[in-house]
Amino acid sequence: MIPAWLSRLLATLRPRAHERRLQDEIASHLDALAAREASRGIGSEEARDRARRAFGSIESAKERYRDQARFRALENAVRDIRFALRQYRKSPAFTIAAVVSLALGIGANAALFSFVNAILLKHLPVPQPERLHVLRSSSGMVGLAYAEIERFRRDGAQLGTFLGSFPMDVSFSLGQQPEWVPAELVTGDYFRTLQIQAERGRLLDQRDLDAAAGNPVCVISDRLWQTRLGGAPDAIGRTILINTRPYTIVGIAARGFRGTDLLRPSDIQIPITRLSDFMPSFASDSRFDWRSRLFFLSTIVRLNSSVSASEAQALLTRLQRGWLQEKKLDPHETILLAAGAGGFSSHENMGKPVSILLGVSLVVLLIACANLATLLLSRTSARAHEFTLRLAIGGSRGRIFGQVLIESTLLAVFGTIAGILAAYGIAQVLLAFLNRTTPAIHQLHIGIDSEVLGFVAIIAGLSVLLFGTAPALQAARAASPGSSSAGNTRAGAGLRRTFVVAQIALSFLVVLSAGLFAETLRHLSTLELGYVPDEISAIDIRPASGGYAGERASRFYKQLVDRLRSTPGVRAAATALGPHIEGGVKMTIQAQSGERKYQANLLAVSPGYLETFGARILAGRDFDPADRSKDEGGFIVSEHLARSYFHGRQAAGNYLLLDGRKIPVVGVVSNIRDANLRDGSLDTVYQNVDKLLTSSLTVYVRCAGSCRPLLPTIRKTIHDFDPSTPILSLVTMKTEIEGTFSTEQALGFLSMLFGGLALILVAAGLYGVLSYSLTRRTREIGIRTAIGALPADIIRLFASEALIMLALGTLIGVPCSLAAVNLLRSQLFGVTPHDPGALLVCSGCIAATVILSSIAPIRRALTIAPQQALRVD
Amino acid sequence: MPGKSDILQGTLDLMVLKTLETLGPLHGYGIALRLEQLSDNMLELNQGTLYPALLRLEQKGWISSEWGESENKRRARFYSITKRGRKQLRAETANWERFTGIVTRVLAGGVE
Repeated sequence: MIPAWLSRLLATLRPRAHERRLQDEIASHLDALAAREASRGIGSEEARDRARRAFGSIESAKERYRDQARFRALENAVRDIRFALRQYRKSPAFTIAAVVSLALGIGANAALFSFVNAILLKHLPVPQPERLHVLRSSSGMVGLAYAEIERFRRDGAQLGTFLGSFPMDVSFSLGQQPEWVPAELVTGDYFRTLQIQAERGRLLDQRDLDAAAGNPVCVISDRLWQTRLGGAPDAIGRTILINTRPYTIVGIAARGFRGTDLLRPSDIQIPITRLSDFMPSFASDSRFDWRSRLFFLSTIVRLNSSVSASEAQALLTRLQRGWLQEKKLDPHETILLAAGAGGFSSHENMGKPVSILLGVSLVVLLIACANLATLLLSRTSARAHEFTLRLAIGGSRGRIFGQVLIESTLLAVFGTIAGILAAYGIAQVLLAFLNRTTPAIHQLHIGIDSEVLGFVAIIAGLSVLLFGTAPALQAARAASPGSSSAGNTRAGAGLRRTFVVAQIALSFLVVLSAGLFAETLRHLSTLELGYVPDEISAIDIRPASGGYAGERASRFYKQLVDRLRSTPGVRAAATALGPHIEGGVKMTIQAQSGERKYQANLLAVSPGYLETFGARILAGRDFDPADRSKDEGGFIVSEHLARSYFHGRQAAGNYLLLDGRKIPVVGVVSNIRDANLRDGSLDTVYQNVDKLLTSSLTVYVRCAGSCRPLLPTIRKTIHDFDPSTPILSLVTMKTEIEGTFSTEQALGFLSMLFGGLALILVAAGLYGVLSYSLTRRTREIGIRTAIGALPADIIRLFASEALIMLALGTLIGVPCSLAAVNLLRSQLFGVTPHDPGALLVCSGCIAATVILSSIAPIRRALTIAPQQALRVD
Repeated sequence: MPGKSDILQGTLDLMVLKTLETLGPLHGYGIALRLEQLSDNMLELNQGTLYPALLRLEQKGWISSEWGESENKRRARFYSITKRGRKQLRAETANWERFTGIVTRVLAGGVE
């Protein structure tokens, strides 16, 4: 037994079978009626008449039967769709142009929304993520100390539970070749706060932390369990090597859980009290109590349902001030609570750029819609006869409105399907760019999921309303009797011009942002670096993960540098503290006399570092490896700083004033820009890294010529030197620098793509309007020419139409886009949002587009001969 | 026009079901004929309106139909009542009786 709706649906899709049955039944009924009359002795003509009378209106019976048999509204829609498809097949150029412009608009939006969704809108996969709040301190300090969190745990328990986390890559080994795995060092309430369950085994708790030096245990992610341990059930209790130390796996975290930062997933959680395995120089320094002096833990609180964020903020601030006073530290700090549903995922890097790109692509979609509206309005005007005819033979205005709207919807459907395909391509491009700054972006599962599809459905629906309503209304109106009349077409022309003006105005925003981002990119890529980035490569390698600490670590680096120096093709090698990218530590120096303060970057480097970067010693000398004194030694300053600090006085042999102490300057070196180009200053102070006790340095190598072909040799040299220490990264400085502004590259590339697209759409819209206006006015032009109008008059006629639209578009577009580009300020470099040059170039591009796209219609207008005017209907 | 009355909405369904229950499988013409006879031509029935009604009953699953041959060797579609149709008929009959009962009582009351 099939339900009624299904049988009606089937009948709607296959109306013929039902129609035949109806035909046969009526025929046989009439025959039977006639036969009865005939049997009463009535003539066959008369009998048939009587039969028909008894039966009633055959047509009305058929109509009622059809209404019962099928869904008539759906049937009409199917018929309209078939008709629309035929229409589109007749004008493939129009159809392709319309679908492609919609596809690019919708595709760009879908792709960017998938990023915004993954970066900004995703929550940690934990219960009630909205209860989580990230703790920040007003001073902008990176994190809290372990002892501080312990204090909160003890005295702030009525607020909720607290977790602290320090992300760190660790070397992980099942006994063979170690590999780098992202991990987190965590506090005891980590899992309790997140309310994560164990997939297998147990999770970490306070007892693991409180044991002397912490229990050597860890929890691993389901992913690591599956990929490295094959999902084996005996993984619980198994011993693995983390930074060469044995650790026992006590549990597997719930499937899908990979730590507190979605942009940097972690696969292992380790008790923070095992710090000495990971940062031996800090943890083993007896003069330095890392528990209360190392402010390195990112902190999250899960508030109880009865506690408000402001209450928690007040109490935590009070607790922290008390604690800071106890520790004799600056107590002027306030704890701030920020939404923590997304964990520590930092969107500062990418959130803003992708949001900007999403905004720009929405504007491009608006332009595409306005463009489609113009094109469709022209088509409706051209089809006025068809609509009038349909109305005359009994079609309803509603059906004509519906028909035109269905045509628009059909375009949107094709555009959306093509758009989703385009979205994959656009997302790949963006991924390729962002991958260089944030490799973890691959972990985000950026893709076209149900949320993205929902968003696409919404924007596609809104698009249909935007570009489909006006043409449909126009068609329904045009279908009034005797309406090819001038009044209606003039209204249509006005609407079309309005849409073109809107396109021009909107394109200002898109083209101006493209110009600003292009300028930003140009400034970044032409900066004087002070070295040849392709000739230098940076090696991130941490002997601590191979089990070396303190003196052994420094020896490891020295021997590695010596080994590298003797490698063929290598001209120099040296080390520095921390990656060059981060530009060292910010420091403040006082002027020798007076109140003035200088900001500079403090970089700890080994002797030979400056030579490795090809910097010139302008005065004094480089650090001396033989210099073994235990004090801090001297500083080397950059030329830029020397000039502003010493005002032309001799720098070498002079001193810098730092915290009231005079630190001697041993040399002046040519400027080297650090790889963080954006806020990198040229004021740098170098200190000798050999004076510091550290177990984590970056090694730099300068090659004779490009380093790229030498990278495998370098890798092999390091492996031969110590196979047990994995290389964290080995890239040329060129790659590293490009990585730092890949976001800007993505912004520049995509915004220029969007800008070009906007200009093409404007050109297409204007061309369409002018061409249509030309066909409408052929007669007028013919007559004007006949009565003596000169080509200049004809040109004026059309040029003025185009120029008025340009002027109106500029008038609206410039102030609006100038207001909007203020939002881009934080993403720009070397150029302000209201840069007059950028605005001028942008206006020039748009004006050129308008002029170029009106040339062809105007030239055609000039060739119209008076005779042609007569042939126009 | 006294004597002839319009068919109340829904009553046609009831009469068709009853006819099919009493007489067994029947074609459209036969049903029309039967209704005409029983009502002594008192019903204003355009026979053509029977077919949308038959289709509706069939879609609801109360009757089924198949092609067959009529008494005078013609191809005709025969309708027969289904199990669900019988159930529906019983329910509708009860409804109808209750309804006519109420109407009769009201009318009787109006006379007093």
